[in-house]
Amino acid sequence: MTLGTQNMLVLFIGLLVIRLVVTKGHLSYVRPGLGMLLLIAGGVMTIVSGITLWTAAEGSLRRKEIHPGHGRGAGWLLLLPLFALMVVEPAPLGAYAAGFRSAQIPTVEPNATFPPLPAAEEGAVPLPLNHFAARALFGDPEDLEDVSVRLTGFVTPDPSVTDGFLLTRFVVGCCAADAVPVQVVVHGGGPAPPADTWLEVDGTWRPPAEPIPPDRIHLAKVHLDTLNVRPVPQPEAPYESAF
Amino acid sequence: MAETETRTPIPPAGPPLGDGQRRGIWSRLPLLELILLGIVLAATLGPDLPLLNRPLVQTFTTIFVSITVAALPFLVLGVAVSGAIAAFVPPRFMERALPKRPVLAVPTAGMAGLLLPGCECGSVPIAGRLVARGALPAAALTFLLSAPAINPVVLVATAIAFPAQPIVVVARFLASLITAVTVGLLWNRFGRTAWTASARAVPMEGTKWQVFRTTMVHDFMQAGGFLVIGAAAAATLQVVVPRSILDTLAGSGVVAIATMALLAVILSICSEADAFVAASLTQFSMTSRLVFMVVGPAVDLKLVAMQAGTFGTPFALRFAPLVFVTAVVVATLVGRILL
Repeated sequence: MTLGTQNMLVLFIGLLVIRLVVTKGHLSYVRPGLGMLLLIAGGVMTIVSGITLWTAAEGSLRRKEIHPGHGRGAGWLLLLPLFALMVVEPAPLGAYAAGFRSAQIPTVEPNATFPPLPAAEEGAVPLPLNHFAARALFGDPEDLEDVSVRLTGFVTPDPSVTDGFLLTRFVVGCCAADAVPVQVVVHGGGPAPPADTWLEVDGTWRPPAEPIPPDRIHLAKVHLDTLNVRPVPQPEAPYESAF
Repeated sequence: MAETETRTPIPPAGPPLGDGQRRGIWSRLPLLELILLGIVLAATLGPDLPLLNRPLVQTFTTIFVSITVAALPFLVLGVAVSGAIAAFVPPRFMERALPKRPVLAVPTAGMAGLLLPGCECGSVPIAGRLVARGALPAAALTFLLSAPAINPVVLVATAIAFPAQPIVVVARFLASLITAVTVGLLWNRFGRTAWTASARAVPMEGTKWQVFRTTMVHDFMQAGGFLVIGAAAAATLQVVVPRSILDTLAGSGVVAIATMALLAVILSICSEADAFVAASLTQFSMTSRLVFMVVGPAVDLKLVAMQAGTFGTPFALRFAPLVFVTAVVVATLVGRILL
């Protein structure tokens, strides 16, 4: 690879990363907080390679890269994920991925305390799905009893749920590779819509019939009695943040 | 690329490389042609291609792209530091900056890991540049292992993930630092210079800023290319090995430790996020979750690929097993004592 080719590639990569953040495409792959860092990284690579291409003497750009012999050409592989982004534009993780990953209730500890619930908007308290599930499993039951909550997630079919369907949201710590699905069983919301349909569900928590022993808590399910179901477009940020 | 082969490479400084290294598999494959072919195929058939429509392929692509995109900011930070070392740090500085005796230099390098915020992708090019600049390889490798594991960002993320158990943060810090220093001391005792020879310095001409830019772009392409290989391997295993089998494996003891150690290698999760995944795997013992957090930033699929790219395959084949065993043993001992 000549110096010129190398810098052209990096310039291209930098511009693509900037475009990804500007179009908010990155929200399908990483946690929202990484957007600014991605913008800086894309900008730095654009500027660095741009200056070299702009100022370097023509002869030096045509010169072959001096390399200690190993890994020559591997840099071309960087084009693969970028073209996957441009051509396939992979969708955020959905019902299929939720099916083969074990659902968990993340970021909770046995002694965790929760802040007071936020105020209701239009008759229901909007809660991130993972916050609702964590409160239901680990919080004070009185906090949630008879409170109308509003959850947003996508439909996930599950043959073991007969009376309703699963509402899922992925929770992300850094990127989709570490995404953990959080699920709530929605009862009384009518027949299950097709998989991956995004819904806003108003409902009240259905406490478990008997207390869940601590060693079974990773298999426990959180249940919701539905008051109101509305289809909504996929949220701009499809993942909930773990931090 | 075929052109590159026919030309005699400009001989780099230092001892000549062996044939095996010079004609590595990467220089033989017509990568560019293959990639272009794939792009043309994907672009023409695009979403009509039944293969690309399958949820499994979709999920693979999403995870593959995610790992690469999430790593980019940290990779850029790493190659910026690497470029700065090449351009602005005098060649002899490294030898003078660290204590002369390896027994002191290695722990010093380990503590220096506190200074680099970010995850493991950034520390690989930095360690490669340190070796190229004449730093003691054992010290550079200790930094490589400690930086992604004990920096403030990772420790804060761990504290948030385990809010009721601050002892987890202490255990993680100690286990990771001890692992890094132990590997460094073992490498100093048994390692050979030839194993890290691929990271040798390439003489560069031009002003300091030209060297900075050229090094940065060069290291970005090299480390980034191998990051892509690692991301593809990790995404494949994530899709092929369903994580739901974890529901059937549980508990404590040796099985839990082995499972979590292998899981850390396979998942290739960023060190900033692994504590949150560890916190959610409540069916496993605390010690095995500590093993997960200590192994992950030190050895996983994308790291091994990047290390092979920077230091050469002979290095990676020796380093990865050494680090894996050390990390598992140290984390298990620290977990038994503290957790």
